[in-house]
Amino acid sequence: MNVASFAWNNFQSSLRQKNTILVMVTQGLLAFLLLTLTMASASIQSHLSDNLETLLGADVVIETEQELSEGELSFVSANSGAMSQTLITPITLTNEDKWQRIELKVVDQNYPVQGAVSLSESAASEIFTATAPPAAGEIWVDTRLASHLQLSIGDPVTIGETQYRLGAILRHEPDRILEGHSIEMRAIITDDANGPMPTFTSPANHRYLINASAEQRAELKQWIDTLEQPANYIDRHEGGHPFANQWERIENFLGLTFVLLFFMAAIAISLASRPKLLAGKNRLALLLSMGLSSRQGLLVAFVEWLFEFLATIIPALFLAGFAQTLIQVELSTTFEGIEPTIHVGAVLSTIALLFFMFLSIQVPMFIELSKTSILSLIRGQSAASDSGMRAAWIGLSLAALAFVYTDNWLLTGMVIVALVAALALLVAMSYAVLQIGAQWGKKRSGLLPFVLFVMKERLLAKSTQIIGLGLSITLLLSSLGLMQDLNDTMNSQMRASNGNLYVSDVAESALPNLEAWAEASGSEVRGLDPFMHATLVRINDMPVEDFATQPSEARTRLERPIRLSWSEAVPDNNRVLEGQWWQADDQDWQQVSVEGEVMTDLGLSFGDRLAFQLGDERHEFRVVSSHVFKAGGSTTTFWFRVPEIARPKIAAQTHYMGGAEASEAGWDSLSSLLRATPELHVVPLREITERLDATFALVRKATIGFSGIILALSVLVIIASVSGFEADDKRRNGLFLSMGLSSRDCLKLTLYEWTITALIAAIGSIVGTWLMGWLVYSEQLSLTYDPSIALYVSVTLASVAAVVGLGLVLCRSAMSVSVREQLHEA
Amino acid sequence: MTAHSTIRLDDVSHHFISDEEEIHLFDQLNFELKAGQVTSIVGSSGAGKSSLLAIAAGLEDPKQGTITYQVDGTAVSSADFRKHTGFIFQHFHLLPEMDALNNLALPLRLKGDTNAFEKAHKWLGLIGLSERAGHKPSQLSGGEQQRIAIARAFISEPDFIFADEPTGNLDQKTAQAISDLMLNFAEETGCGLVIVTHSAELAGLAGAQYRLDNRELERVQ
Repeated sequence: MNVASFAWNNFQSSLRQKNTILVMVTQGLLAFLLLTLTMASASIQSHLSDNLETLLGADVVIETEQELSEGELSFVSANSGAMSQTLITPITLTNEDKWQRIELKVVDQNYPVQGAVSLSESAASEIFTATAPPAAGEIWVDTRLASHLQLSIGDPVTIGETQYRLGAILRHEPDRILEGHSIEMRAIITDDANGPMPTFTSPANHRYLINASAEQRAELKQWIDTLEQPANYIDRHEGGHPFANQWERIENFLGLTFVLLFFMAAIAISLASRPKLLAGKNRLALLLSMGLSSRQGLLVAFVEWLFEFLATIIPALFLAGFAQTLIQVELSTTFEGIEPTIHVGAVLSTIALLFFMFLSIQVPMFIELSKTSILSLIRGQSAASDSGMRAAWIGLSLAALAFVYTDNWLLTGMVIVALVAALALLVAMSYAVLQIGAQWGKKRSGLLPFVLFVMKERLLAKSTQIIGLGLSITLLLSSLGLMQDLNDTMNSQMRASNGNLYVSDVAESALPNLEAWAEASGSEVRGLDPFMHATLVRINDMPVEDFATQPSEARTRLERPIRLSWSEAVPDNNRVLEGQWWQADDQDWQQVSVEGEVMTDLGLSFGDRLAFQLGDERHEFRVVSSHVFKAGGSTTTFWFRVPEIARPKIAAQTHYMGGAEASEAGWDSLSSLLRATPELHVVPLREITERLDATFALVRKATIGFSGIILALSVLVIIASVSGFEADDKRRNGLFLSMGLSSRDCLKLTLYEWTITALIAAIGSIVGTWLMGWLVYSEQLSLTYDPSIALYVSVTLASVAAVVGLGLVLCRSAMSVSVREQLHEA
Repeated sequence: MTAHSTIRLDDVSHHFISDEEEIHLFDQLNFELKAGQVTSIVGSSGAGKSSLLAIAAGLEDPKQGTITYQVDGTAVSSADFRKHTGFIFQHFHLLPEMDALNNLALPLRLKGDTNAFEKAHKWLGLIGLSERAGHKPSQLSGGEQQRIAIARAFISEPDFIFADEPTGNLDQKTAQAISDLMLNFAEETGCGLVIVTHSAELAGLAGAQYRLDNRELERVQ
């Protein structure tokens, strides 16, 4: 027997079955999504790596928070061909009454060490290059900044009390990659001993661009670990783009959402495969009776599935290639110069992943098929059972997928807990409603009691449908709700209590200037929270990156200084998640409370020791509690808080952050305040909300896309849940018709049945969504969970209508022939 | 139940189209079925026995001719008539997810009988399957399944029961027992039993025996 040709014939004939098409469409959709994601990711990774090759502006870059000492600098000089020292700090730049917060780069005379700086005389004029830094007293600003402050070449620009002259418009610098995709406006000046130089009080980043041979790089790499302070070391020749970690995190997040999509697809495939499995068992039993061995029979089934897999992957591959060209256009705004390339290795490994995932859904079916014997033809076909095994197998595959993708166990755990809770709720509700309903209807006449009786008797089949539908609606509601709730909650929080001017950093020394400005202009300074700039340098005597090996938002952020605050009691806008907050009379000042998600991201436990670099001092604190944001008070929350009695023990300068309500006069005099106090960092709330709006626009786009996919999968689950049981329903309706039920009553019966099914699923999913929202929003994102009832009700009603409508359409088409089919079945 | 319930077929002809070819099953049939009477129809495969049964039961309209249904002496439509009928199938058609008791109670529950389960228990006793009340169809033998299917047809006391090859799937001994059960119930309840079968033994037990061959229905006895 030719297995391949036999399987091919089977595959061809199975294409006439709508359930086969349903399975293929579901697989195809999922394959398309994952292949598109893979292609886009591979392009970005390759772009980042090429970027590193050409845009680092040095062989090696070392970044530190504190300036390297004389001795350290001598070591670097001795182990390099050329070195340029750069200081990057946030500062306020003014031009008459206009001002802008920028990132200032202060370079030395050796800048740049590789490549050239691209400049122009205006935003529209021709670009020329320079291989030397700005002349003394000269400043170069980027095009957006020039436009914002309305600057032209030769115009004066002020930083604090120091005046500069605009020398050129900055278009591109060779070490630009190190600023990544920062949207901050920027400028360059030269640190010239003979020229004017402002004083900088904000925390700065010290960057050393180094040209070095392979031997020198090896020396430097070894030496960097001996440094007292934390240092970031990037070698152009070794890869390791500063944003690769962040992108990996985005990939992981997308992968996690894929776990949810796979879950829905698995439900749809399992439901739709049910009649296919019965037919397959029947066919296999027949083949066995004709002398085929069980092994050969399974081989035929596997090869047939293989054809099905290929028939979904090939079109998905082409569609993903097409989609990638569209996505490339979007990506090119963020990743300048990104090239559309196909990465065969990445695509092949994704196809392999898809192969194993789809195969894992099929394994329980193959196991059922392997149990087929000729006896089933003699004793009659038994219905496909073992729902428990199928559920367990899908659960196992999902757990494996989640394990591969997740980098935030708390978030993943909560999503999984919420889904499992929704599932348990759906099972419990199905059982309770149908049992109680059947009991209620036992001594009552009419169609409704009868429907409840029949549904209770078909509890297993009904629960499968209800769970499938319920989980789909839960995921649909969650993704739609996420978009709306996130938007509303963040907007309302941002606009509620901060005033119209956000004070992001004011040194204690500059506080009198701010208060004087407020008093003079009739403005109001609102609740300022104190903090110190601190860098987390060690956890339990280990470097942070050695302790926390998983990439995470927290770990990336902790590479830069954070804000360490202090308080005696738990602040109004925080609540203790776990552990014990210090008592008022507690004399132990070396305790710290850590924000919940940071705890999880870093893998911290109570009792762990965190060493912070605070100015020139280093202090160690023991983790005693974790806290989370609680809505209602100030919107400022800190990742790390220590007892108030710790403050006098630390020499570092106190800074404040908070909000202010600037009056008309206050806005007018703000530039004078900023000129006199360059270390004061303020941002108009409008600017923040504009930035937030830009972020929301991106989130909205992503969520709409995700919701669209969920919607498509929900439709597939709905079709599968109706069509997977179509044969059973047809047979049952035929029997009822033979018992004298009219077609009209039969339709009514179907209407009741599907309405009850869809309502249980809908109510279960609303509770499940609420649970997911409560766990994920409140506990993870620290947002007040405020679900939109209108959205929930409309999505739920639409889902119920779709389920009932489809159920009725399929039932109606089957009704006319059902009794006759039973008579003629012989 | 009364002997005044009848089904009357006048000049009934039927055919179907297969591959653009008209295949005639029977022409100009005239006969009457009465409640309280057991009628058997035999004939070779493809002669149209099951189609005749479907037409008589009001499931299908004939291409030509008229059918008149009377219940308690009153003429009714085929839709109304079907409320007074029951079926026994060759493949039993019990619902696989329901146990024996629930399968038996099904037609009574459908008609809103609040004592459905008590009656079903009684009927299970009548067919000797009280011990098997909680068993699913897959746990029952073919003979047991057909006994439940027969009881299910009789339980709601219809005027007519249409049986399509009721012993076709059973061995000779079981078939004999099933035939006796069916005929006893028909006699006790006084309903009209119409049996389509290949079994000469079963057909021979009927009071009115017909043979459908060459498009004609011939009364054998």
